[in-house]
Amino acid sequence: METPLNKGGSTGRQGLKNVPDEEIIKLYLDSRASAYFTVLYRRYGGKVFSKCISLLKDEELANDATQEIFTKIFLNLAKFSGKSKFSTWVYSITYNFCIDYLRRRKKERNIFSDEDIENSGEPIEDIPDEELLEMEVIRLKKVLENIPTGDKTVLLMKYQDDMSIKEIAEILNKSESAIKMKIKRAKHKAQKTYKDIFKEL
Amino acid sequence: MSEERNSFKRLQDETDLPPGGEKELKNTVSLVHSISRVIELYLPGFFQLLISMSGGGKEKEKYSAPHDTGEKRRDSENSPSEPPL
Repeated sequence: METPLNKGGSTGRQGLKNVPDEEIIKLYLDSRASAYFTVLYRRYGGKVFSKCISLLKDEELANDATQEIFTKIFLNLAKFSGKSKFSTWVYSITYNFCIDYLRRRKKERNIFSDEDIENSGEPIEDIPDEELLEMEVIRLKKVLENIPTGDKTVLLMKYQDDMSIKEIAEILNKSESAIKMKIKRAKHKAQKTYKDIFKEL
Repeated sequence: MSEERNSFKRLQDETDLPPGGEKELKNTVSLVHSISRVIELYLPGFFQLLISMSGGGKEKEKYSAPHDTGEKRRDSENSPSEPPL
């Protein structure tokens, strides 16, 4: 049987460049050729690693986490239903893995505590997205390093992964209104942190 | 590329995967493959062994061997199961 992998030998993999994720998964499940899984790793490995570094704040730990996350993805690939995008499924595994890790290590018990999300004390001003989206990368990195994990998680989900409020709510097992509030607060904290760090400028 | 790269996406783009990760993953994948193949091959045999050790395999013999005599077979041949019309 001719597959995109054996078609043209080494150039076969080149031929997979524009093949959608779902098709690669089907090819892998049909053939069990690990090269197909490698294609998925090359597409998402860096992104998963970047999220792990942001959340776990340790490069070595993030590397181990990336390996574990991909092993998990590999073992559960047959269960991917295709209801959501493959990238959303991969990122949901990534976020849940990192959050569970931080909870297990008791570094942060209440990453998404209800009091934090639903506490509606004083009204929070709505910050325009542009303030965050047009920030210099090096500054954004510094800001993200200095805000709580829960806030960082929702900001990454919304602005890095383009997840909808519904998707974020499903992954974090919270209501959509709670997530909206959490994002609003997270943006506020990010702006405040930015001003605190770079106030001299 | 028409897709707009905001600062969050550019931050992600700047992170490179550490070298060796792909090889490590390939090893893990092939190890899992090997283990699952071993399980596929030997697990049914293992369960069969457990069943026969617990005496489950003798059921078959009970129904066939002791009562299966030629005499009985001849009897049943002479007595049809359905009455003649």
